[in-house]
Amino acid sequence: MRINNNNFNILELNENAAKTVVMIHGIFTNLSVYYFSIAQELAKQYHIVLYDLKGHGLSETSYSGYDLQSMSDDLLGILHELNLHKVHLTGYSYGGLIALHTAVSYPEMIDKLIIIETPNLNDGQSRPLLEGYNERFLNQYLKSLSRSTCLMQSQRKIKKTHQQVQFLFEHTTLKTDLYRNLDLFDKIKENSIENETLLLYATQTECNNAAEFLHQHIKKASLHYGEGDHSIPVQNPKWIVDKITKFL
Amino acid sequence: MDTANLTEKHQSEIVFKQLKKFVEEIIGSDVIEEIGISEESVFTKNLEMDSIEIVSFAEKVKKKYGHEIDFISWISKMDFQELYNLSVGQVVDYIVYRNEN
Repeated sequence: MRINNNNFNILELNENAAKTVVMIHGIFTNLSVYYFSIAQELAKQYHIVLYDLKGHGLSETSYSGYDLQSMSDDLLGILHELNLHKVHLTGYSYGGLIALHTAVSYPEMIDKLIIIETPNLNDGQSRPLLEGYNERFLNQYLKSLSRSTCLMQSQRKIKKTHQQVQFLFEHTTLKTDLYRNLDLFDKIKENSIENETLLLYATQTECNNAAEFLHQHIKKASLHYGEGDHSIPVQNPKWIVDKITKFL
Repeated sequence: MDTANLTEKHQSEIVFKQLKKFVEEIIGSDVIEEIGISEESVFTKNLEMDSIEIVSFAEKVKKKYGHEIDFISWISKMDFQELYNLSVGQVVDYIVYRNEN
């Protein structure tokens, strides 16, 4: 599907269901984070829309447009193309920031919000990781990618992924774009999210500041901690499905 | 070998060819030529497919055989170690014999 001059890989499950849940993955991973477990379970009741963010999975890489505003615009373009007017929105990690930004900027498009292991890039807890981008970061990232998709990669694949990530960092605006729209949490503090919100974090989360902040400043939010670390969608999908099903 | 076994063997060959075609469409026929594919090939280790490529493969199987089998439900029940070790032959067996092992 072509949105905002970029080709997007989109996958729909149970298209005939009345209610739609759109699921946004995190940075440097892809829609498979949801596909094998969480999405299949939710698809028994809901129309599920998964897509690869630009520069990720099978979606096209572009030179720019990795900031939250552009990513929200991509999401709105997808909703428009699929003729969806109001959806439940789920976001994992950076995908959660895209979901929150969309809820703040386009509340009329969003029904309920589900936020999984989402950091606040402005709170100092997550920032050093990306700012310290170098070979060490890349190696750590590749390990976490294997963990987050739970599939070990061959040497050839590791090299290819290494090149893709290096390209995103060195030849696109991604690195600087990640730190645009940093006022998102300030806007949330002004109580600009009215949606019922489910906050799902891991017991070993490194985003606990963000979890507590969102719980405090989103009026209708409930916060739950499940067993696992930042890769909780693949470590503990049953817990996630259970929480989402009860929430929706 | 009786007629039923012959038919199943023939069906397995047809399904294997179809699955090979799917894999070729995803990772490229040049790669398949280089690394080869057989029923013993494991998607992750031997065919070097990553998660998003396995999703594409699963969607192709669903589209082709979804009216006969619930492939996605089968694959979704696997833990990650099972998914990591999944071979082409296991998928063939599931499609032809509904063999879930």
